[in-house]
Amino acid sequence: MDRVELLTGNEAAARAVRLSKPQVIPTYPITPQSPMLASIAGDVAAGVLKAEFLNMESDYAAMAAAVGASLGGARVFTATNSQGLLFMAEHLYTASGSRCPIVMAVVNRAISVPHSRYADHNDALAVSRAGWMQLFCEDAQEILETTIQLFKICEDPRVRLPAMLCYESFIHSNTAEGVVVPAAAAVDQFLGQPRVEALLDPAAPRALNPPTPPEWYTEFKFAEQQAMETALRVIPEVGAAYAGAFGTRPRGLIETAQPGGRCVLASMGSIVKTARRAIRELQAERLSVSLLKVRTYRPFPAAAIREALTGAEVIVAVDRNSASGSHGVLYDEIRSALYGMPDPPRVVGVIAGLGGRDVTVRQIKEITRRALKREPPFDRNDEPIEWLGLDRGRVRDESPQARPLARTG
Amino acid sequence: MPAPTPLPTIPRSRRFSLPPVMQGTACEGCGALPAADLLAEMLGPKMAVICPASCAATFSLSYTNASWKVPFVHWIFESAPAAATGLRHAYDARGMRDVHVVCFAGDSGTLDIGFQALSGAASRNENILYVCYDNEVAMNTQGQATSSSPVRARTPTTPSGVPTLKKDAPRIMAAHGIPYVATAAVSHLADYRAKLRRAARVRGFRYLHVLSPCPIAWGYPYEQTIEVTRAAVETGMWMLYEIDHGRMKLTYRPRRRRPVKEYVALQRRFAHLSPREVQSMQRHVDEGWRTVR
Repeated sequence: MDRVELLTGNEAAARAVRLSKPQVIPTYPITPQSPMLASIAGDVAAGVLKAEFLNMESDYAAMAAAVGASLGGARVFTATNSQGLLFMAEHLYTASGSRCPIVMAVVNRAISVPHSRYADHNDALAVSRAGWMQLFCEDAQEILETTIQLFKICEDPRVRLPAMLCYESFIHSNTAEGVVVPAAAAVDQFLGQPRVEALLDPAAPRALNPPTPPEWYTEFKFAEQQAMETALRVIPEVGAAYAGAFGTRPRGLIETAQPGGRCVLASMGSIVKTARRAIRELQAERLSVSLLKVRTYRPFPAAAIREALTGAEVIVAVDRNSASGSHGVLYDEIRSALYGMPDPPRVVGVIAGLGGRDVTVRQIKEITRRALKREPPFDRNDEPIEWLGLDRGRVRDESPQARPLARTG
Repeated sequence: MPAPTPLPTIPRSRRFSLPPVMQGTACEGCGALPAADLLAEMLGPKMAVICPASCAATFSLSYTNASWKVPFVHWIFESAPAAATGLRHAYDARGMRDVHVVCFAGDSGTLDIGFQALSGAASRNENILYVCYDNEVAMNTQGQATSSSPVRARTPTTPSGVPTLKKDAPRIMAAHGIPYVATAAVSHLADYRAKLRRAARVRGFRYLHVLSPCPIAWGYPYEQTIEVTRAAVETGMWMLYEIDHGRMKLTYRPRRRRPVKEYVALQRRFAHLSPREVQSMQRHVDEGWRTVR
């Protein structure tokens, strides 16, 4: 029987892990992922979850062990974020290159320096070229459902790739919501036995990772690319199967709400939730605004986005990320997806919510109105990008805030 | 590392054999080869080998031929024990407790870049056998000094000699309280064999440190590998012992230790040393031996 429980994002992920039954869980704590690991460790100790729970000596070692366990044929789950994810970077490639179907929660947290424990997406996006699927969640319900779905997606023989389950530090991880938790037997039936190929198997000895000559390297990379392209089909397929099995709404690559608007707000993660409310209120003001939620960032669903945005006038890409010298990722990726379209919509960018700064309904409504009226900076053809809520007064050379300094003594 | 010798001309020293489980494309006189050979012979075939970046990783695998006839992975430099931890627990979860998980790594992958992972796995007392073959340099990248290089040895990155003492890895590992630690040398194969046999029977983290000279880095004719290794043992530069569940035991005591200068004289890496410096090395070795009974 399904039950509604009051769960934080971390607890929702832990509950999904209990239901999905990974066999090996190598871990290393980091704020704010730690409560999830404690919850899973409790499940293992209580015998609710039969798994090898490993207390590794670093995030890096946790990912190395995750790959080792996957090569040994086990279903593997782990979790990290921010500094830990960057520390793992080398082994993220080991995982994708070895085609290990590892599921990892990434509790998106800003990267130091300056030090912060709060949310933005820069951690996951820094490794968005590492060959992992990346799905961004909007709320605790989606965290639970996506975790379960990812085991099926990753282990699909047509895909066999690792995936990051992304949700935000504190905003999701430590905030409780009502979550519908499916029955264990139904999840067993949905996922089935682990389908993880043991590449290191004494019964059929093989040697992995030979020095690969230029004549061969490209083919391996192309095979990964093909797997990612296949995932564009498998992700919605599994989302639909889950909806069918559990009576929830289907989740896929993207989601739209109130389609057909002149203006489309595009975002990922918790900002989507805020944008939903903003859009409802803007529609009450008779403004024509729609929502584009990008759930799957890797593989990037360019075709689905192009289709969803056909006929729109202006797209406001709200990015909870930044890359100095470049742009927010949705701003760039959406523009790239629309290139070559006849009469494409304009795309403007908003950098918002870095280091956990609140993004409010009022702010989203205000930037949407300004984008529709082409007010600065949205009047520019070149770099029409707003840094939401920026206090320019603080950004002066002599100001301590310009460099991460604090008074001592 | 220079271009590996092609397969048909692999030198087969009469002092050690290459059992069918392990054939390689190593350089002539490579000390890592007998270290790997005996490991494969004593542990196989129910084993999986994780080998981080090293000469051994390079000579174990070419595209698409493997020297090992057991599951083998050419792994990232600094994390073989962490990967071995994951693999061990995957096997355990899948009811394959009888399969040995083995790391075979050089001194750099063990004691420098790989030390955190090594210490982590030892602290957890993971059920893994770790074999460090020690050629006292990072030879896969042309012989740079490592923390396992002996004091005063010339390497490309220490042209006037290594300024510090060789890291005492086996003792550091023993300090982790793991059940079995042993040293070995490719000149004393019966001793190495006995230690592998013992290590295969112990559960928990087992650490073997095998002196495996490199003719190119150390500067001696390739056919002298066994002679040079024996000199290391007979002069007392390298001590053969085991620490089995906390009890230390010398497994070989030279009847009369030969002078260190005889070991030094065999190798170009020490050619720049003055007699005074050699004397100082001798004093250090003598002090080391005073601590063992």
